Amino acid sequence: MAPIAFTLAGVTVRFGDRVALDAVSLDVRAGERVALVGPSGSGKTTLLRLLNGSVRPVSGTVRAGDDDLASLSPAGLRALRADIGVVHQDLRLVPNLRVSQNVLAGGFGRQGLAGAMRAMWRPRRGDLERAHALLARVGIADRLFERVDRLSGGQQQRVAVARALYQDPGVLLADEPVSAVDPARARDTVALLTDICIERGLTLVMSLHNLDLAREFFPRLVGLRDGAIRFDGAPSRLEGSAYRELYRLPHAGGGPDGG
Amino acid sequence: MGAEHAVTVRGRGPLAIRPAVALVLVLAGAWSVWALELAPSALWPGREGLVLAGEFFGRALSPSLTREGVDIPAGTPPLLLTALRAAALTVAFAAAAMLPSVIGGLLLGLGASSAWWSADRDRGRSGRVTWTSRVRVAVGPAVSACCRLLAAALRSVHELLWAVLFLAALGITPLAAVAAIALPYAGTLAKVFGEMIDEAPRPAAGALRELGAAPVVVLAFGLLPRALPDMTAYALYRFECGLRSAAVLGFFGFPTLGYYIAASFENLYYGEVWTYLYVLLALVAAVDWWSGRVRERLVA
Repeated sequence: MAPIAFTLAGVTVRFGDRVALDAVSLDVRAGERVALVGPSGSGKTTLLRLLNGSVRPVSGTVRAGDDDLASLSPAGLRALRADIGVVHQDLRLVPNLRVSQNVLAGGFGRQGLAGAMRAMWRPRRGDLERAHALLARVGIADRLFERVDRLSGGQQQRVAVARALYQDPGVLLADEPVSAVDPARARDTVALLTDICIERGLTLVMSLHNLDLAREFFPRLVGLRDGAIRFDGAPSRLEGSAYRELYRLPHAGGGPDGG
Repeated sequence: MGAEHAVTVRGRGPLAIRPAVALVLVLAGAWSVWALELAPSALWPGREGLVLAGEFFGRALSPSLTREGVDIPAGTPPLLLTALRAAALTVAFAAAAMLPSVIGGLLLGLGASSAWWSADRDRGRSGRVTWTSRVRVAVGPAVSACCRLLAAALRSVHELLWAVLFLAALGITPLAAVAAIALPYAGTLAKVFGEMIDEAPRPAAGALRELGAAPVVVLAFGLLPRALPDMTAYALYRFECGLRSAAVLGFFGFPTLGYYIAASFENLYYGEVWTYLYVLLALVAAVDWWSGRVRERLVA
C-alpha cells in the first residue's frame, strides 16, 4: 500500500464563531486521486487549505507525510509548500507578466531572491525549455512569451496548471478549478489534471461542485456537509440514501443528477 | 431589512456627503472670499497693466529667434543655443532629483504600505503564527505610521522653501537645487506609491506564498508587478512636475530655463521670454508623450 500523503486527525477549524470543519479525520495516500464534493459552504475549500498549511486548525493534527504541520518551522513550511502545487478557481496569475514568467514563478519555493530575479529577467535555457515542455503538455506551447492578460480564460487556466507542475510537486491541490468555465471546457480541464497526475504519479485532491465529473474521473469521493465528512468511498456507493443524506434532499424522489 | 439597507447606503460610499458637511464647505469658501476681500473688479488691470499685458501677450505669436537689445557683448552665444542649453540643464536637474526621490519614495512607500505585514495579521486569525510573523504584526503598523509621517514631513515643505534652506546652507551649487526637488518629491512619491502598493490586487501574491516563495519574493514578483504600471506612470508625471520645479528654481540663480526667463522679463525682452516658455512647453509635452507611450506598453 502506498505511503500516506496526508492525515487529518480530529481537525476542527473555526473562523470567528463559525465552525468550518468539525472534528474531521481523513487519510489520503500518495498517488491517490480524491474529489471533495458536497454543497456550497460545506468546508471543501477549508479542507484543501489545511493541507498546505494556509489554514490552522484550532484542534486536531494535520500531517503531511511524516511532518506535523503545526511543528514546522517557517523554512520547513516553505519546503513543504514547494512540494504542493495548487490550482485555484481564480487562477491567481500575474496578468501583466509573460506566460514564461508566470510558469517559472512555480520554482520560487526553492529559490531565494537572487534565483527569482534570475528566473524573471534572465532565465536559464534549461528552465525555459522545461516551462515550454509543460506548456506543450497542457496544449499552449506557442504562447510561451505572450502576456498572460492577452490569453483567453481557458488558456490562462492552463498557465496556472503549468505553473503548479513547474514546481515538480508530489501533490496537486485544485480548488474548484472548473466552476467558472463552460461544461465542455470543465470536462477537458478535469481530464487534463487527472491524466497528468496519473502520468506523474501525483497525489490529487480536488474540490468539485460538479458531481458528474467527480464520478467520472475520481476513484474516491469524500463528501462534506456542514464541516463534517458524510461520505467517503467509491463513486458507485454515492447513490440513493447516501446521496440524499449528503445533499440533504427529501427522501421521497430526487435522485443523483450531479450538478 | 430594506430600511437597514437604505441607511447603510446613505451613510457610506464615495458619493455620499452629508448635507451639513456640504453646507459647512460652501460657507467656509464664502467666508474665505470675504476675509480676503476678493473683488471681481480687481481682476481688471489699470491702464499701465493693460499696456504691459498687451505687449507681453502680443509677442506670443512672434517669439524671438535672435537676442533682443542693442549692446550685445561679443562672444554671447545665440539665443536658441542658450535656450537649448538651459533646457538640457533643466532636464538634468529634474532627472538628477528624480533618481534619489524615486528610490527614496519606493523604500518609504513600501514601509508605509501594509503589504509586508497585513498578510501575517490576517493569517493570525486562522493560519500559522511564527515568531517572524508575530514580529511583523507587532511592529508593522508602527513602522508604517512612522514612514507615513516622515513622508508627510518631507512633502509638507514645498521645494521652493527647501531651496531657500539649502541655498542658505550650501550656496548656489547644483546639489542645493537637486536636494530641494528630491526631498519633497520623495515624500509625495512615498505616499502615492504606498497607496498604489496597498491597492494592488493580491491574489497572485497569495499564490506565490502558497507555493513556498519567501516573503521578499512574494512582494517583488507577486505584488509589485501589479502596482508597477501605475507607479511608473505616476513617477513619469512627477518627472514632468520636476521639470517645472527645476525651471522655477532658475529664479534663485540656477542656470535652468527660469533663470533666463526672469532675466529676459526684467529687460522687457518679451520675445525671448516666449522663446524660453515654448521650449519649456515642448519639454513638458515630450515627457507627456513619452509617459503615454510607456503606460500604453505597460498596461495594454
